[in-house]
Amino acid sequence: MYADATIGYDNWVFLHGSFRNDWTSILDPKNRSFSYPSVDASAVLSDKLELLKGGSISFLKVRVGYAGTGNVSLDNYKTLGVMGNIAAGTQVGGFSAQIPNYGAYAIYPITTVASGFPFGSGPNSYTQSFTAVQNGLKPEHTQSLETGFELGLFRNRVNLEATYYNQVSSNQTIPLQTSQASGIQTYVTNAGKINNSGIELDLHLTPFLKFGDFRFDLDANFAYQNSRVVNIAGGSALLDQINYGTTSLGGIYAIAGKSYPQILTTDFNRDPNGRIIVDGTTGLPSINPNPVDEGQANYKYFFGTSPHFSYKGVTLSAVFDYRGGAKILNEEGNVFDFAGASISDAANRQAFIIPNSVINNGTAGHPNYAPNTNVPITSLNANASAALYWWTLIYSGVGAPYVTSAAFIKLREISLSYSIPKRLLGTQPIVKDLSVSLIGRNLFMWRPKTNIWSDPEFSTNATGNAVGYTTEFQTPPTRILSATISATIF
Amino acid sequence: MNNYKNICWGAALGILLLLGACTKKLNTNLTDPNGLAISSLAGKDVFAQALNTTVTNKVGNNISSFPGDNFDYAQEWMGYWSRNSGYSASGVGAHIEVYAMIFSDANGIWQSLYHNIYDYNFVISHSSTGSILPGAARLMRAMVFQDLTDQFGNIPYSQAALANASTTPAYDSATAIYKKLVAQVDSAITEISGSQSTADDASDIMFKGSKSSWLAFANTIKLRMLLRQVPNVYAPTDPYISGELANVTAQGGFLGAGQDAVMNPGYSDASEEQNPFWGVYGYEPGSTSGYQNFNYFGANTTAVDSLNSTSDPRVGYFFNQSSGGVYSGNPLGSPLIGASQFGKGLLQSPSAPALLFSASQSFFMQAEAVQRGMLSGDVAALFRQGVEESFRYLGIPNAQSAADAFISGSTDPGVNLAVSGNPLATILNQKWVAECGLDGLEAYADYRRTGLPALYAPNATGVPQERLLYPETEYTLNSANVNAQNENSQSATAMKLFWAK
Repeated sequence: MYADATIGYDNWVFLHGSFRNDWTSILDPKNRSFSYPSVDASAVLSDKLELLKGGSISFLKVRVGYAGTGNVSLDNYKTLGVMGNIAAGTQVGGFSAQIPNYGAYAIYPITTVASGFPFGSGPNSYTQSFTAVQNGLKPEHTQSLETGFELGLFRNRVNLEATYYNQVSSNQTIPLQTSQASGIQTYVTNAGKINNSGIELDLHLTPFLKFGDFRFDLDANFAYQNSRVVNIAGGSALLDQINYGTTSLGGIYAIAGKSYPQILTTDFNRDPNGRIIVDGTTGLPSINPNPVDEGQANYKYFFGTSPHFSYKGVTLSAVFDYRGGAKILNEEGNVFDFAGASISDAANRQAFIIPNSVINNGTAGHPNYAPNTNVPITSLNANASAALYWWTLIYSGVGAPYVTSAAFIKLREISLSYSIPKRLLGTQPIVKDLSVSLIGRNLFMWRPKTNIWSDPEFSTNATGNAVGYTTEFQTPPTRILSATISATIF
Repeated sequence: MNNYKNICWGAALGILLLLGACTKKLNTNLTDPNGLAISSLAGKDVFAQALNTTVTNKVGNNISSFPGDNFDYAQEWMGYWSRNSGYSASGVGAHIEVYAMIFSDANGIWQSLYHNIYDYNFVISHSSTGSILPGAARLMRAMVFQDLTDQFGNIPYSQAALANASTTPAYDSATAIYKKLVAQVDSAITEISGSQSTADDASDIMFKGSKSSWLAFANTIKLRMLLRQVPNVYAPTDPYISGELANVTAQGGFLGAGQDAVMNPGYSDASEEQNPFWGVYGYEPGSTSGYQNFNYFGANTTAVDSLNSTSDPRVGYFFNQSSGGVYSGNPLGSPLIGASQFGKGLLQSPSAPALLFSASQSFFMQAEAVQRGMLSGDVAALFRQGVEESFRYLGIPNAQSAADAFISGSTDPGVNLAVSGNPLATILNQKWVAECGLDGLEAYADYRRTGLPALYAPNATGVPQERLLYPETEYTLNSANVNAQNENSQSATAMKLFWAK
């Protein structure tokens, strides 16, 4: 059920409201109905306020709005409710036939026939699901407040649009990862409360400069976004959001009180100053099984600008982009190191002393860390050299060295185009317009020196929750150059 | 007045009623038609799967997994198997070879054993009390818990496998768990003794509802639990041990001659239907040679050299002749071209029953218990039966006479009890031989408990770990409880379990 109304007063104040009530059949009968209202108001002050008229302000609009939304996110979660997913008789060998699963049936986990059963004429048999679902799962609820203004100056040659938003999503339906000693892996529950807030600024200078036929326009935008996990119910401080096979390097998590999502990885045991602790005999470090928080995976700051020059029929424009405030786990780097194909192990094929490492000369209870100046790495395997042992078994098994800043500045696009003047086309009747253009995309990228691997935007799954890591399985980023001739005929 | 006229309605009120005729249908189809709701299942619908999973976890997990998702590491450490040439060791496979499995290497074992326990919990609580299933499932659960604690030490026990009722279960001490497991086996024996034959017996793919077989198996598992704690926790004559064993002997014996605990839900030579050991280490459906499903492992020099040196006829059943016409193995971590592969005693047939616990092992445990003075009996006879049962399981013709001839014809103290100055060493040596490729986990436990057999470490880089490290998943998902165990460094692999030597 949906109702919507807009009231305008004197064509400068507008009040809009809506009310919506949804029923969804995929939830428990008593939680099926949920409703949410929204209301917003805007006023074009420049039309009404006398003091703004005739000055440099040509347009001013302010707006404020509140919206509630309900949502049921159980759609097509493939692993929900089905264990094994292998129908009797299907080929395995690492690949199994998946039974499609729909959000429609998600609240009552089912069991499926266990692998291999029934064997011949033997009994059929089942295994319980690896997923449990909370009784009486509720819809998710989001409340958002948004306010902002649009300002035009100097006959709209300068346009500034600003927005602030603050959104609280509660009752998040989350597949909470459980200790596997519980017999299950996932508990689907209304568990999380997430707060998203941010600022967006858009500036248009049209034109910024103009001398005769020469014109320079400039667009710029800035955004700041902050996602914070307010709480995760159920006592678990960690929530694994991705399933990408290996847990040996790390994962992407939601952590109460922190930005969402956070990258957690395995690391070497380190002293309080962050130096790697190595064994006094073997020179090898040990692994800390407790995952270390390396920072957030989503960008916090966005800045973009696109200058635009034109002179007669020639147009030159460019798009620059900066993103920052995020980290990335370069899992592909680990693969290169393991295979001996990376820049790191190309240069370090002898046994070496781990730079900036320390040796504990005290006890575990009362450590006394002294810089390691003389104990190089050794191999614990008689068949492997120290370097081989280090790169394949020690270093490549730890996630922390592969986490870098995901910041970048990119020249995303340059285009140069020229419209052939009409007079050069002559009087022939066929071609009415003709233009040529050269376009380059993804041309240049500037990254922090620590990120020796790849374009952080090319993560394996850039759209879902699982941002923030790359693997060797993805296609590398590409640079595109193109030339276009376009003609309007007849 | 003027302003009033300017008020206009920007948009009309619109109401859409979507519900109407659908109301009645909304109450149906809450459960996926592609499977069954848990509420519609009983214990009998899960028991066969749970048994098959237990044996699959033990003898061979799925092909795509690493050699660390099951108990293969114990086969390598106990000198039975090692990596074949043509494979390079990476990840867990490489860690095993230097006795340095890391935290994440144990994720698979932890997950599959606890899920198996979760299914046994279901069978215990969803079977009619009159049937044999609750008692049998309780026994199986205790056995899987013992396998877990024998590998990890302290583990979640009292709060484990309760699904969402306990998503971060606390750990119990291994010592306390052992006490509780022995008590659980006692409860299982009581339940099995009082059970009747019901239609649910059809789901018992191991003993077909046979009370006497289940009782003999329960007694054998109980002996395994008690023997594990002798002599390092309890003296052989400790009142706790003798009291519990008196209970066992009063209930009837252990697994006897020909009484292997094997199961067969109907294995056949079809995809996914093969015997789980064959399915991993054997051949694809329709062939008995050629392309092997998973030939990462071949013979280990430790086992082959030992069998060769005693002229043990079983060598040709555990392993194949190598291309040079001899039996030869790979030193752990240093594969050689042309090493022997698995033989016909291990790879019997794709439809053969899967071995959970052998009669041979039962006799060797009894022989040790008698030798230590825990039970009364004839050590030499029990020892001989252990070897005979091993010959029989492997399919050696005239097993009994062949075994007797092998023992009496040998002057090796590791074979012939009569010429041995150390009967315990002889018993445990032959137990180790009999478990080759069949039960590496038990041999690994015996080795940690007794130091026998005295294996040599071919790659000279250390000794087998005393335990596995807790899985990485516990540190991310149950961190407070796992950190409370204070076993958070790689060196914890050297921390002995409470029953270890």
